[in-house]
Amino acid sequence: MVNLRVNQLVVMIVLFLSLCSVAFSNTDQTNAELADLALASQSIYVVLNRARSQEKIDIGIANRLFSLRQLTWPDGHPVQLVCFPDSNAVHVKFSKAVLDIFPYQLRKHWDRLVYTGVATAPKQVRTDQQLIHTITHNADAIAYSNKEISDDNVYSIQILP
Amino acid sequence: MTMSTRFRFFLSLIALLSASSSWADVQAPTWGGFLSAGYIAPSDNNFYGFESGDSGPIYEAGLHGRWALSPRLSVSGLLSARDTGDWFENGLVVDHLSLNANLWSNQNWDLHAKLGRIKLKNGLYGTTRDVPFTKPSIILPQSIYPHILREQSLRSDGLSLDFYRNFGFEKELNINLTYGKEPYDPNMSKRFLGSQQEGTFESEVNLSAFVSYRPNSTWFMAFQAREYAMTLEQALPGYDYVFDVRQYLASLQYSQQRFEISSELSFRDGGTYGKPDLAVFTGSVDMWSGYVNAIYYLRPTVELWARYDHSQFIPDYIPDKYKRLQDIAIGTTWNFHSQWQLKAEYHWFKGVSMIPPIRDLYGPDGNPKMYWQMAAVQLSFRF
Repeated sequence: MVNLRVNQLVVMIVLFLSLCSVAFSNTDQTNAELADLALASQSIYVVLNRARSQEKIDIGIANRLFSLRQLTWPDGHPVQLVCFPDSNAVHVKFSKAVLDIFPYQLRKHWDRLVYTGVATAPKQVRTDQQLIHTITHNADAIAYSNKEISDDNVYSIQILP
Repeated sequence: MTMSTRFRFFLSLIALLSASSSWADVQAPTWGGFLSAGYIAPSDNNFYGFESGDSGPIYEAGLHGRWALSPRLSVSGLLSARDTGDWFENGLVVDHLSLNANLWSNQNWDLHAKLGRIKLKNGLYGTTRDVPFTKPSIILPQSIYPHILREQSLRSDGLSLDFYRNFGFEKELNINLTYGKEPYDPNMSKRFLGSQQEGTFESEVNLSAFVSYRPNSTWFMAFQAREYAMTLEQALPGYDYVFDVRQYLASLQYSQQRFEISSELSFRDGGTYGKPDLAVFTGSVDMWSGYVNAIYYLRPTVELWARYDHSQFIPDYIPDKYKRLQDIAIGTTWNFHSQWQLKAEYHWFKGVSMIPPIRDLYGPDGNPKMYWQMAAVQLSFRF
């Protein structure tokens, strides 16, 4: 009897989540797709600390870094990736254009490498301000953006026109 | 060499290597982890446990760390704690702890080696089957990731070599060889021979070979061949129980922006026998098994999935109920925050072939129902 009640409860949770998802998905998904379209013609930059101003980074090296195949900088320091959430339009564009995979595939790839001890987890930020703050305070960090970011501590390299 | 002796030797090796690395090379360790709590509720049969009731809570936690000793050398590990019913021993376990060396690397080629307790590469989800954030469902398809054989495809104490060849972007070939002994949960003997069985299986030194290829973002394919042999000494007075199997596993995944279809097919070839011969220990485990799983990404944070899963022993002498396990399942995953995840699912089963115990020597049939169902829900947090 207890099992039956629990089973029914879980089924209701499944249905409730599905309905919630449908209800919330229409507007959010449409907004994300519109943002994605707007980004389609925009450039992609990688963002670094000025302490790494000697680095030569092209799309191939960015691909190795963000797919966690290259884990260290040439001076031996470990690379700290900085990323946006899966639903962020810049992240969607970066995943497809630079890494050639969908954001959910990239997340699973990162998780698999992190939880098997191969690599360190990327640090997630939500805004450009958080991104600049993180890069400013970590000389080994690298992020991406759809616009050129430059100040006393941070600079950008365009990898996709 | 016993397990604790092997670990002491390994820890000494790590200490020696870290002492020999220059301080300029050694970086601060990085770490993270997860906590999860859930509940599984089978309608019948003993999937969850034999004394803890047929339904109950599941708790899983893990703390992982990585310590770069030099640009080419690192130590990484995951300490996990689980409480998932009494078919499994509860408490802390070293999930993996290894010394990792990047032997050779350039723009297109990488060769890595690991020494210690290593995760086995096993299908699409086997490597991280205990981490809620890396698997599609709470209960993985039992055809490929059976509950009863969990440790056999999870980790190994030994050496592994990984070769990667990149053809640009995400096109990648990976070849992995692992040679070592799988450490077993003491309760594995109960999953094989019944809740009153004592003793712990001891693994032989087994070889595992894995090849995967990703030609583009759409397709992923992999093949694995493994042999695994293990012995339970004095399973019955004067008789050892031997399990000796070869497994071949093919995996295929097709991904699009809004959906992903995965399928895996396995063939197991081998058997069980007594040493010396004992009729009750003799049997074939020849089996075909496989599943098809479809995930639809309703939005980036919400997944809906459906699965058909089928396991089938080949020998004709096995009664129908024990010969097969079919599972039709639906579920959802909601990543409602970057650190939080909620999973819920429902399964309709036919048969009991892959649920413990395989052959109960002592008690009445704990899995009497041919048709049964199961619901599960799990809340997880990562840090």
